[in-house]
Amino acid sequence: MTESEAINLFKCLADTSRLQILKSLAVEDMYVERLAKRLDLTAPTISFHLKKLSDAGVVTSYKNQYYMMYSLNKKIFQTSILEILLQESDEAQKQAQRDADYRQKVIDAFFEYGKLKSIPAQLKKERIVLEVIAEAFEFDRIYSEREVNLRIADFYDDFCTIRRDMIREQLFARNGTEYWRIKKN
Amino acid sequence: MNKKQQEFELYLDEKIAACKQRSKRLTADDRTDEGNFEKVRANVYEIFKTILSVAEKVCKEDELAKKRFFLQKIEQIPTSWTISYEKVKQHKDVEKMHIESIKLDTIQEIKDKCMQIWEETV
Repeated sequence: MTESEAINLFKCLADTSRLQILKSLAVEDMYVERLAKRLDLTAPTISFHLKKLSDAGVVTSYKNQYYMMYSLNKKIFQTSILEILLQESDEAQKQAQRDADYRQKVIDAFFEYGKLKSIPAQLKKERIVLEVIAEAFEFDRIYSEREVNLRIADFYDDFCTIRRDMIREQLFARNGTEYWRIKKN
Repeated sequence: MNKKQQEFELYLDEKIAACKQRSKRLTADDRTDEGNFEKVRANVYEIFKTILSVAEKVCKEDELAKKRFFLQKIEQIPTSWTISYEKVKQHKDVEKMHIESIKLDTIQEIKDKCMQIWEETV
């Protein structure tokens, strides 16, 4: 189920009359006039709702003699909400691009010729700045405190604060005077 | 404004109020689409309330001219709605068909009431 199909489905279900129609169809297949009598609604109103339910794929129809019968598409209700949530979002790519743009904007604002101008006050921005500095370190390698300080000093004079914040942000781990870069999950 | 016009205006006001009340109740009961149908109905009544007041301004004291003006509009306005209904019917667009038929049913009701009040047949 695509994201827009899921939205359509949820919108469709968020209506008392349509839910009552589905409840009736869960009991047995019915035609418009019967549903109208059962739910005390006019036949055109029932047809209107059935069209929406058909478009959302929750109801199917078939001809039985003179009547158009409507039945519940039980298969669609076997899909769990979690399955829908786990579907890759149509928006995912756009969101990733927006995130990348924001990250670049922060980097451009706080770095000048490879040097950090100041430590951002906002944690979200500081995290981005720290991630950039962390990239100067390799994974799977142990660094001494002096090595860490020297590399950070290439970016910013107050290497103590940066080093401490990198530990806090779990970009780095330490054991005494040994430091190593932590891989992202 | 004469007695007949007052009666007709009262009828329209009552209908508008009833539609709005039903719309509110239906929306609160999570029947948004049906609530919107009531808004469509209220809208049609409001159109004819406006026409009634325009007739009053345009025709001043001429009662016959006012009636003619109103009846002319009641025939004119639904022409495009009927065309629209036929168009959506061709495309089997049940949703739009329902909305267009609500408009046409409401205008028929207004027309019947208008005739009843002015004791005249088309």
